[in-house]
Amino acid sequence: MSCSLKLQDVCISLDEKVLFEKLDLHVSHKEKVAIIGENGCGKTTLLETIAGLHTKQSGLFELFHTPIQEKKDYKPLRDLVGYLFQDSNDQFLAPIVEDDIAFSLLARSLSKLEAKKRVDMILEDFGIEHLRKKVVYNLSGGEKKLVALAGVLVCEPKLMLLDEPTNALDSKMQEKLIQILSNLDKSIIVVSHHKEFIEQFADTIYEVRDKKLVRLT
Amino acid sequence: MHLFKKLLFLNIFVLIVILSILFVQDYDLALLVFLRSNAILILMLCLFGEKDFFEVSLGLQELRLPRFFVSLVFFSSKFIYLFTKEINKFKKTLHVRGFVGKTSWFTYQTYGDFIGMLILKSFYNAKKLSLALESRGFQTQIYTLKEPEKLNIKEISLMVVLLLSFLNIGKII
Ligand SMILES: Nc1ncnc2c1ncn2[C@@H]1O[C@H](COP(=O)(O)OP(=O)(O)OP(=O)(O)O)[C@@H](O)[C@H]1O
Ligand SMILES: [Mg+2]
Repeated sequence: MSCSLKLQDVCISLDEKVLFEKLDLHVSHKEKVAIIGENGCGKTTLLETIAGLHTKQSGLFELFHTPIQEKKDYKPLRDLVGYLFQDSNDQFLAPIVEDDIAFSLLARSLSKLEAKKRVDMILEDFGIEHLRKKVVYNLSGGEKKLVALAGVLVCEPKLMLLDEPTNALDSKMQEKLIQILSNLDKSIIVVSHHKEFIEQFADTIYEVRDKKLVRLT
Repeated sequence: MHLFKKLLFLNIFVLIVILSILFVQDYDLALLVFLRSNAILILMLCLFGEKDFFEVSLGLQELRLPRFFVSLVFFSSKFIYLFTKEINKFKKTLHVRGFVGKTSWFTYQTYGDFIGMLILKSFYNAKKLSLALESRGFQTQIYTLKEPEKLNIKEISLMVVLLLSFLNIGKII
């Protein structure tokens, strides 16, 4: 099976604090991976590294079979990776819900008409059409999560990185999210503290232990 | 009505200037300053008063102003909006945690801490914004799905008045 992501002997540190040492992670095509671990062990930093927002210190980092050494190696792959921020507020770039969801589409120079069609579709899928014209910063915590997630999903990335997607969602919405995510034929890496969600959704579960990833299932 | 209130408020500053001119008994100049500054204020309020800054920046983009400038206005307005939200949240927190403003060290320290927090938070926000811009493929332009609005009668009449006043500007001065 082809490999979406390969990390080998990777070290990641933040301000001299070493978070990961000799880290290995393989994610094959369409695999659903969950990562758990204590607060502050560096899960968000790991996802940011995979999303190309933070550079690793050493080791091998391959994304869709392309080795990545510097930031510029990441550029052509940018469109293939979607990243959901832990705090949705950080993610919003436009003040109105529909504009924000459309942002990455329009930035990839899709036509307005096409972008609108796709936005309509995803709003309907998520059941949040009533939020369309609202100001993103005034939404409730769960609504923000949904809008942010819609903004990621709408671009149809091949690899999705989701940082705690279920926190702030009620149980009905969680069910729905599991259903939506399970039906996608994409590779997905999820960081979550939510046991039930992980068990239902993930093919493989890793835990962060002693600055490494330990495979649980 | 809202605009009128804003105009009255801004006239406080105009009044200070005028009083200082009246002090040297130059009545003509005082009248001129009053009329002219009010003309400028009314024009500015008509253009920007009722709109929020997000829309103004989209308008600037439609007018083909440089993209970096438009993005600057746009993201500044985002931060100002978040700032005001932050301040309101802080007020609520103070209230909930039993803070009463007094003339005491503690009060001043709390306000000082708040300003410090705001500054730290803006650093944090700026950093996260740069990450979001990168991960969502920002290319020096902001977007909206909204169709550009058609010219309406109000705008056309404003344009005519402005043009006329520009033509007459020599005479007025
Ligand atoms: N900008 C920064 N500068 C210095 N240290 C940081 C910075 N950001 C995070 N850290 C530290 O790095 C460590 C890892 O942070 P990270 O956000 O990756 O943790 P996490 O595993 O996502 O935690 P959580 O489960 O609470 O979200 C933490 O100890 C944190 O204090
Ligand atoms: Mg985290």
